[in-house]
Amino acid sequence: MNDPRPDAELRERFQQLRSEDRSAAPDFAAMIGGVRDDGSREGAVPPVVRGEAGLGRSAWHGRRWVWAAGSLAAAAAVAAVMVFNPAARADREFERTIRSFAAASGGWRTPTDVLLDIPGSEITRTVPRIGAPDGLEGLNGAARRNRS
Amino acid sequence: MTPTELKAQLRWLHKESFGWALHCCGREEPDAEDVLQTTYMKVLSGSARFEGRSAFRTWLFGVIRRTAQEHHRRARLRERRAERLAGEADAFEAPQIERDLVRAESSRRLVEALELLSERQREVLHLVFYQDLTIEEAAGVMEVSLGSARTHYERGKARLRALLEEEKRERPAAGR
Repeated sequence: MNDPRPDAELRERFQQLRSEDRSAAPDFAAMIGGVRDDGSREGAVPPVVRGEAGLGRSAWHGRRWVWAAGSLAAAAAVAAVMVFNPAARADREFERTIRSFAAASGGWRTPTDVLLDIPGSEITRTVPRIGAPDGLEGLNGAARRNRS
Repeated sequence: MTPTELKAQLRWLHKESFGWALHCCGREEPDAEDVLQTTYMKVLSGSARFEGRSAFRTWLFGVIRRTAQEHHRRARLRERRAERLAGEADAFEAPQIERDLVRAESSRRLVEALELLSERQREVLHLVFYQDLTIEEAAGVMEVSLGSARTHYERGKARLRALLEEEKRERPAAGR
C-alpha cells in the first residue's frame, strides 16, 4: 500500500509554500501585544459596550467601594424607617396592650367554650391508668361534667 | 509552565503556528491571524492548559485546530447573515484574488491540488510535509488513531501525486 516513490519532490513543494507563508506571517510581538498577560485581548470589545469589564483594575476597585458604601447606607435607611416609623410604633403599642390584657384576664373563657368540649374528647388528652376502677376514668369524668 | 515560558514557546513556534492556522482556515490570512490570536489568548489565560501529555507543538497545533473549527462555525453563521446583503460578496473576495496572483505558480498548483483531497488527507500531508511532524504526531494533532492517520497519509500522498502529474501533463498541452 505504501507509495515506493521518494517524497523529495512533494516535500520540496510544501517547503516552498512554507517559506512563502513564513514571509507573510504577522509579527509575533504585534500579535501577542494585543493579548494581555492575563490572556484577555486588548480592544476585543469596543469601549462603548465594555461596561465594568472595560474598567482598569484600580478603577473597578474604587467603584466596588462606592457600591459597598451605597449598599450600607441603603440598609441603614431601611432600618431607620422601620424603627422610627410612627405607624409601626402604634401597632407595636396596640399589640403590647392586647398582650397585657390577655395576661391579666388569666383563665377567662368564652361562655360558649364548653360547646367545643364533646363527649369522649378527653380520651385524646388523657392516659388511662392501670388499676383504676375502670380504665376510662377520664372519659367518665367528662361524661359526668356534661351531665351536670 | 510560567507565562514567560509559554510566551517564549509561542514565539519560537509562531511561524509554524501561523502556517498551520493558515491551513486550518482554508488559507485565509485574516482568519488565520484571528484564530492564532484567539489561540494565544486561550493559552496565556490558561483556558487551554498544557499538561505535558505530548510535545508542546503537538498540543498547540491541536488547540489551533479546534479554535479554527470554532471560528468556522461562527463564520458560517456570519456568512448566512451576509448572504442577505446582496452585492457585498465581491468586496470580500477581492483581497483573496490579489493574494492568489502574487503567490508563486508552483505553490498555487499545490494548493489547488490539495483542495481536491479530503480534509483528513490535507491535514496529515500538511503536518508531515509542511510542519515536519511524524505521522504519529500528526495523529495526535488530528485526534485520530495512528492507523487512521497512516491510511489518510498514504492515500492522500498518492492522490496528490497523481493530481500534480496530471496537471503537469496538461500544462504543456494547454500551452501549445
